[in-house]
Amino acid sequence: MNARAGRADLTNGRCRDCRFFEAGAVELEAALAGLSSLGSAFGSVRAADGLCRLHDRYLDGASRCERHSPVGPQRRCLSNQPAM
Amino acid sequence: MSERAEPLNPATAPRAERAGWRAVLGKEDWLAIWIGLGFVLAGIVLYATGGSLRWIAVAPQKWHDVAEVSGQLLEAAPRYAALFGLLAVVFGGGAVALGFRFRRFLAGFVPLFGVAGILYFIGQWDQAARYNLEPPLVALALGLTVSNGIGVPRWAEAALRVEFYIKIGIVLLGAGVPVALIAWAGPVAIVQAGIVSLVTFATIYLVATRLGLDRRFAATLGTGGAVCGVSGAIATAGAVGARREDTSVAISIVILWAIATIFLLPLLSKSLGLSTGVAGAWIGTSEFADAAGLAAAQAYAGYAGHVPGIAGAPDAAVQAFTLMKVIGRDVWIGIWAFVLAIVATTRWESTGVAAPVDARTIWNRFPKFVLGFVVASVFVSIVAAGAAYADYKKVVQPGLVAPLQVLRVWTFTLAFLSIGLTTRFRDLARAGARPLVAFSTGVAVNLVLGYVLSTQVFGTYWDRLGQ
Repeated sequence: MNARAGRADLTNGRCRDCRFFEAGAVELEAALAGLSSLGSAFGSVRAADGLCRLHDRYLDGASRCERHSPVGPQRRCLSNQPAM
Repeated sequence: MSERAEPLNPATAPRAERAGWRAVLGKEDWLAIWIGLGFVLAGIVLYATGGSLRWIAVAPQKWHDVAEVSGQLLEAAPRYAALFGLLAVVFGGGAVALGFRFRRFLAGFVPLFGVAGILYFIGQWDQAARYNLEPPLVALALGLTVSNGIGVPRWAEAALRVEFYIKIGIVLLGAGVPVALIAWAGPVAIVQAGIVSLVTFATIYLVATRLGLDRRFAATLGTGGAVCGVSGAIATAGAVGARREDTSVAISIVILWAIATIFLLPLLSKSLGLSTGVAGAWIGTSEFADAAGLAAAQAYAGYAGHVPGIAGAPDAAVQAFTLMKVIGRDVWIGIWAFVLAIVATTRWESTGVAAPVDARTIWNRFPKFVLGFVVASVFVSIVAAGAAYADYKKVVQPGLVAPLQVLRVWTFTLAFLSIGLTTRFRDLARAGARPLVAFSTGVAVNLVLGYVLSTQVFGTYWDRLGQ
């Protein structure tokens, strides 16, 4: 990997398609305490951001890394709509 | 980096990207636009056909003793029931579009609406100002007490959507702000907010990095303080790839300061005798979150006409706040995120993740509900364009604008109550001294600079807004 992530020539899939990436709004609000108090995971400003459990970072869903682990097709069809 | 990270539970695995109209319909910002503009258009259609939303947009009237309250309630019971039904169905429909179950939403909405009604009545007590019983502040204090004292049951949580209510309320607010006013005061707001945002960000970022904090963390804290609070913090955190814990800490610090300034800014403005327009501009410059700022601005609006020395129309506080915060600060978050993403990927150390640098993020992160605010303003301005000032006051205002203002107050009250009910201090991430010092330094600079710009440099503009 190059020294600067932004210059890395990564051709792996995007984080939003990775099994370690969590982008469900309810799950994000549960993981980031206070997010639903004066903010929201359902709003436009979040765009496609989510949490990477592998790097323990909050990332743009279009990011890439060398440890990408794609979600199977059946998993990608699952909804993470709130279960409330 | 966690080497032992486990794959996600399939039940919460990433969903397929929503496509087409579902993406438009299902985002909170767009839902706020459809709902807010739906009310505005319904109001316009009824007004044009000789009717009005006045019957269903019921609000408590001024009262002196409890007998008057019961009299009002008995007389208007069908109207309150109809209003409850309307809001439950419309807001519940929005909650369903977000993915919540209607029954769960309704379970929480029933008590929420009931308490909001009580607070609305308290605000209309003729002694309320004497005891500082401003509904937004009482709602917040009550919500915080319940949430941090006895706790909020899980079955009620689906109805506590602060941002959802606030965004709908801001769209409704557009109906009371003439488009000419946006054109006149908007540029002033952008200049003032631009100055304060840049200085505040620079202050927090420089202090944070001098104290040894990670640059991504410093940027997340900086935009949280300078641009739009929690929304600004998460937009930047995502754009630069901040650590999860740092993102949580930034959110916590923003919330603590936002809640403190809800009480502090109206208090300071009152003690300084600021007019409603000037106070609204200062709050818009120096508050951190839309919901928190609107609570402060609406509380200050309540002082107009009740507290000696506070000049200006009540609505000027909320209007100035909205122009400053929403037009002056919020709409630029996409650009902040884009620029910081460029800096992070080209100048900062690697995180092992390649973040994208894509100009489309400017639109993707744009707070779309602002468009609803502007469109609502345009709609009502067109309707009012043909009316002379006297006719506007006599016909357009009571028949069209006032009912929409009542719906806005109900919506905001639901939001203010939800702020307190969703803020549990013990759940917030524990912030260390360094991020707290960095952010607090930015707050201090922001407060002073915001005051000087609102009262001295652009004071005449904001004063005129309230006249």
